[in-house]
Parts: sequence; C-alpha cells; structure tokens
Amino acid sequence: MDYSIEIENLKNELKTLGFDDEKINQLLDLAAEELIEEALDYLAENTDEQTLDTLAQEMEKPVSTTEDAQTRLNMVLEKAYGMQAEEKKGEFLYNYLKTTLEDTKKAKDLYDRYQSGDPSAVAAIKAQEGDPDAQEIIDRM
Amino acid sequence: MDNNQEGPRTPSGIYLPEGSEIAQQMATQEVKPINSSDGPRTPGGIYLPEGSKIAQEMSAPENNEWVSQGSSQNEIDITKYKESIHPPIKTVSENAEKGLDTPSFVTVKEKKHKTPNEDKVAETKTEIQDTSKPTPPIPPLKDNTPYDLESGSGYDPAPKKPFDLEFGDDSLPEEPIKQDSKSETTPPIKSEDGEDKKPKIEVEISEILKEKHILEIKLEETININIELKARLDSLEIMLKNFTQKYDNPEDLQNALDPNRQRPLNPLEQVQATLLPEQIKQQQDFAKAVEQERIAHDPTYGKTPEVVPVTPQETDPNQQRKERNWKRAALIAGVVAGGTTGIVGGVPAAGIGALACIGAGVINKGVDFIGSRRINKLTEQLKTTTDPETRAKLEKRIKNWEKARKGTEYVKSFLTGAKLGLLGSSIFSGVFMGGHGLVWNQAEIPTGIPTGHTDASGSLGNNPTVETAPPVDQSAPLVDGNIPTPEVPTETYDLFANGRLNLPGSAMDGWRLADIPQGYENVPLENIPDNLFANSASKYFHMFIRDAGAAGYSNAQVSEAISKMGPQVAHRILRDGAYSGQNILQTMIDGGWLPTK
Repeated sequence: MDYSIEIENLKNELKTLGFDDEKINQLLDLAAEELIEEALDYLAENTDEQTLDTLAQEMEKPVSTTEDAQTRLNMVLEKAYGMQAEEKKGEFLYNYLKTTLEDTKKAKDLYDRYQSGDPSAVAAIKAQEGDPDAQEIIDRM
Repeated sequence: MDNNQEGPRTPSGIYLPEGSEIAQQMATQEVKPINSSDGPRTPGGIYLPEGSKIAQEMSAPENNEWVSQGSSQNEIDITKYKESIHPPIKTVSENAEKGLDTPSFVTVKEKKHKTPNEDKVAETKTEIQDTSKPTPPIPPLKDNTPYDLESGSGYDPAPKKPFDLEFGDDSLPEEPIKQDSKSETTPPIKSEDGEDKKPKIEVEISEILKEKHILEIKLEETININIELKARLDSLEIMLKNFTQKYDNPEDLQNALDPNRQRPLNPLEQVQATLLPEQIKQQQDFAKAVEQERIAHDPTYGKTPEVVPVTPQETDPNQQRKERNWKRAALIAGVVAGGTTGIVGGVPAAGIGALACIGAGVINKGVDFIGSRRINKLTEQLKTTTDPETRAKLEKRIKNWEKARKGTEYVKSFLTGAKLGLLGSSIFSGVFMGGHGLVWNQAEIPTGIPTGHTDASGSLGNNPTVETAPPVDQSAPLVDGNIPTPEVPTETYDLFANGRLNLPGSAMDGWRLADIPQGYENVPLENIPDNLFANSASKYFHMFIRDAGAAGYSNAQVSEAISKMGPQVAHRILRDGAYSGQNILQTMIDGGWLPTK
C-alpha cells in the first residue's frame, strides 16, 4: 500500500470537513509525537541492550540545528523498526489521520443531530455533561 | 599739674590746687587724708569712707568667705578641686610650685579692657584655625648646597625647625605676689556704675592660660612636622646610601658605569617592586572579601547553572498522552462547531462541540493505553524480580530508555520552536518530510577517510554490530594500469537535479542526494558500504544515474518514463530500490517505461 497517496487523500477529506492548513499541521504534529512515543515504547521491550545504550548516548548529546533534531527523531524510529521504519511511519500516519477523519465525522453527525433536536443526540450530549475532559477540550479550542 | 606740690589732696593723694572747686568742697566735707584715716579699705589698700556703698558691700561675712553679689560675677567651682582659694592667686602660685595645672575655667566674661597680649593671642588663634594655609615648607638642604654623593656633605641631617620655640613650664615667676594679709581672696569689686571689676591677677592668669594653650597647639604642630621631617630624612638617607654605594667588586663597578648597560625602562620599577606586591595583596584580599560576601548573601554564587536550553513542560508520558488526546479532540471539536458561535440549546457552541467529541468517542480514555505500555511492564517486572543479575539488567534497560525518552522530549521541544520561533508542524516535518531520512536533508557530508565509526543517523535498522567500515576494496577494477577511472555520470537527469530528488506528489520529494563519500570517488559504488553515505539510499540512486547514463538513456527519456508511470509508481520503484537494493533502472525497463537498449 502506498501510504503517501492515501495520506494525501485523507488530508483532502479532512479539509472538506473544515480542517484548514493550520489545523492539519497541528494534527500532523500530534501524529508525529504519537509515533515517536510508540517507537520509544517499542524500544523498551524489543531492542537489544547495546542498541538502547547507543541510542541513549546519542540522545543525550546537545542539539544545535534543526537537522540535528530531525535526525535524532528518525534515529529513534530506525532503531525501533529498522528497515521497516519508513513503512511504519506511513502506516501510522495513515491510521492516525483516518481515525481522526472518522472521529470528526461521528462528532459532526452527533452535533448536527443535536442541533436539529434529535432526542438521541440530545441525550448523548447531555450524558457527557460534567465530564472533566469536556472543559480540558474547551480550554484548548 | 604738679602732683608733688604741697597742698590739699584727694583721699587717694591727688594734688588739688588751692581754691579749686573740689578742694573747697573737700574742705567743707572734712575729707580725711587717705593715709591718716582708719576705716575699711579695698584689697588694694584704697581707703573707703565709712558708710559708703562699697564699704558696706565689702564687709566680710563671719566665716571669712566672700560671696558673689550678683550673677554677673563668674563663679569658681571650688569644691571641684577641693583646694582652698584663700587667696586665689596664692593657690595659683602654689599649684605652679607643685607643678600642677591651674584650673583653666577662670575666665573673664565681661572684659572691659583689652590686655596688651590679647590682640596677639587672637591673631595667633586665627592663624591656627585657618587650616587652608599651607603647612610650613620642609626646610631646604643646608645652604642649598648640592649633595656630595661621595662624602655626603651638603646634607644637613638635622634640619632646623620652622621656628624654634622655647617652652617653659606652667609655673609662674618665682617672685611671690605680695598680698595684703587682710584680703586672702579677691572679692568682686564693683565700680561706681555697678559693673563688676575683675581683679588684675585673674585677668593675667587667664591670659597666661590662653598663651599656654596656644603654645601647646604649636608644640603639637611642631611635633608633627618633626615626624614628617624624620620620614623624609630616612628616605634621603636611604637614597644617599644608594648613591654612595661602594663597589667592592671592580666588575660590578664597571658594569654600573657602563653607559650601554641595560637600564630598566620603567624609572619607577624599584618603587613598584615594593608597592606592587602590596597592592596585589590588597586586591586579593578585597576579592576574597567580596567572595566571602557573595557566599554569605548570594544563594546562587558558586552553583553552576544547568545548561538546559529547552525544558519540556511536561515529561510524564501518561500526562503527555492525555494532553495530545485533548488537543486532538479540541481540533475536531473546533471543526465540528465550525463557525458556530453563541448558544446552542442553552449551551455554548464550543461546549457542544466538545461534548459531541466525547460522545463520539474521540477521547481515548488513557487507562487502557497506560496499562498497555511496555515500559510499565518492565517496571512491574522489576518489582517482582529478585535475581540480582536480572534486576541489574532491568534497571539498566529502564534507565537507558528514560535517557532516550528524555532526549526525544528535548528534541521535540527544539523542533516545536520553544525558543527558536519555528513554524508549526515542525515535529511532523522532522519525522515525515524527509522520511527515513531526514538525513537526506543533512547539509554536511562526511569528509575525510572514514574512521570506521558508524554514524548513527546513517545506519538503518537496529543492528549496532556494524561498527567498522570495511577497508577500501583493493580489487576495484583499474583502467589503464593502476589509475582508477572516476565514475562520472554521462547524463544529468531532472529527476535528481540540484542534488535533490524531484518527484512532486511523493513523500520523498525534495530529499537530498548525498555525495559519494570522500576517498571513494574512484571505487565502484557496489563496493562502497551503504553506511558511508550520508543516507544509504543515495548509493542506489547514484547507481541508477550511473547505469542509465552508461546505457545511453537521456534525460528526456527518463523524464518521460517518470511522467508515464506517475508519481505513485515512481515513488514505489525508487523506495524499493533505495531500501531493498532493487535495481531501479532494470525495474523501469522491465515495467516498459524505458525502452530496452
């Protein structure tokens, strides 16, 4: 599967839903962070001692340029997934954007139905009132 | 007027001419001659007519002590000194004989007449108080005669004082002052108009004390001048000693007289040699005092600040995970609510959007995620493991993992521009735009002969055993004897123009084509280890360029082939060639996009 094309298609779909370039960029950043976190988690259990030791030493060195920083992040991915790093990146980003697209569609549908007075949608929205996550989300909107 | 003539006289003995009005008046009043009259007299022996006001006032009390008749008379605190003042002048003279100071509080407040020395005293006082006047100059050397360096003559080791003073003691003249036995004290005398009259002796004592005080001041000044002169004399003696130094060794004398001898450039060198160490010591002491002051009061002194250019705000992975969830949900909620503002069904639109996200399951409840984290498993495993060796391994693993994670936090903060002001999506760009190779975009190319160390960024996979680069293949094909032929591409392709991969629509677009490692320019690409390239895929792209050029494929043909296959297929072929070692040119030929040669 050519993830690059699929990712481009997903980005276009997200744009049609209302994501502008700035929001997509923010989304991609979140995806990248998530990807790095996944790679680190993978390294914790699936990498030999020497590799982890080398990686730890490399990551402790100071970063002076943007290119240095980019190289470090990719080093984490390559140490974790080896030759599959590129494939893994495409796959992860594809899944992330696809999930986001689906979540957006579902939330938008619920929102639209709430606005139109659909009792089930109103009930679903009311059921979430008081959820502490709601305020956290509002604070970041 | 002749006072020696015979005739009537005043009680005080002043001659009165006969017939004068005063003489007649005195004759009618039967004034008795002063010497022949008995009655009260002043301490000075002046006759006082009986019943006169002065006589009444001067009548002595029973205890034979005089009492001041008014506040205008300066009173002497006799008890302070516990000495008799009968008579006072006698007390002064006695003190002088004993070598004691006479109390100096005997002053005259209301002085009617200036004493002969008063002007002089006042002038001297003014002179002493005037500090602006320069001190007396240091006396010149004797007769202004230049120093004779050999003999030292012409130098007066004891210069004269600016003025010579002869000091006496505090005693008064030895001649005793005759006192009337009847008047041991000096009672206050009032003149006819009622004002107090000071006895002459008191005034004189006051004058003497003043002069004594002035002389004491001058003595002190003289002592100070002498001290200064003594210091000057000492320095001159040292100088003289230096000038009259004897040279027992002829060579030393010759060297000293040598006009070409090396003289110190700094004429103050000798002085500085003594002063500088002292000055340096003072500075060191001062610096030490300052340091102690800072140690005592500056809590940050001596502590080396940690150099952490960018500090991540939150390092707890679980909390970060939640934060990312909230941010993602907020992005979705913002899109869901769209441009809707105000109140929707009594609830703000933004709130409805957030609730819709939660209702739609956008938020990943973190418990499941946290529970599945592998590092948490390791931590749990460490808690239950008792074997020391296993525990040590686990601890080391967790420690290294934490180091790596901390490093990624630092890098992410760097890329998000916490202090660089970078644009958004920087982390994504770091990870995806450039792909496995963000190394593709590295500007620096390895220089020099590789030393065998593998650049971590240039190695793919997690195989750390590839530590050393193989030596240069000595079996490389040689042309015309021993000189290898450089592999110069015969064709320049737009696909790799400007050293970058130009493939719009592909994630690899813009990746930098790394140069052939220095020192390997004449080595066949197949014999160059992948990890010596700034990015390993460059090796296979260089092979494609070389083979396509050697086969005679023009830039137009390659560009046409890329156009035919489209960016997606081109991306896949290049990617497979870069990471799987698949021959790119052969793939394009086999696919029919390039004609067979």
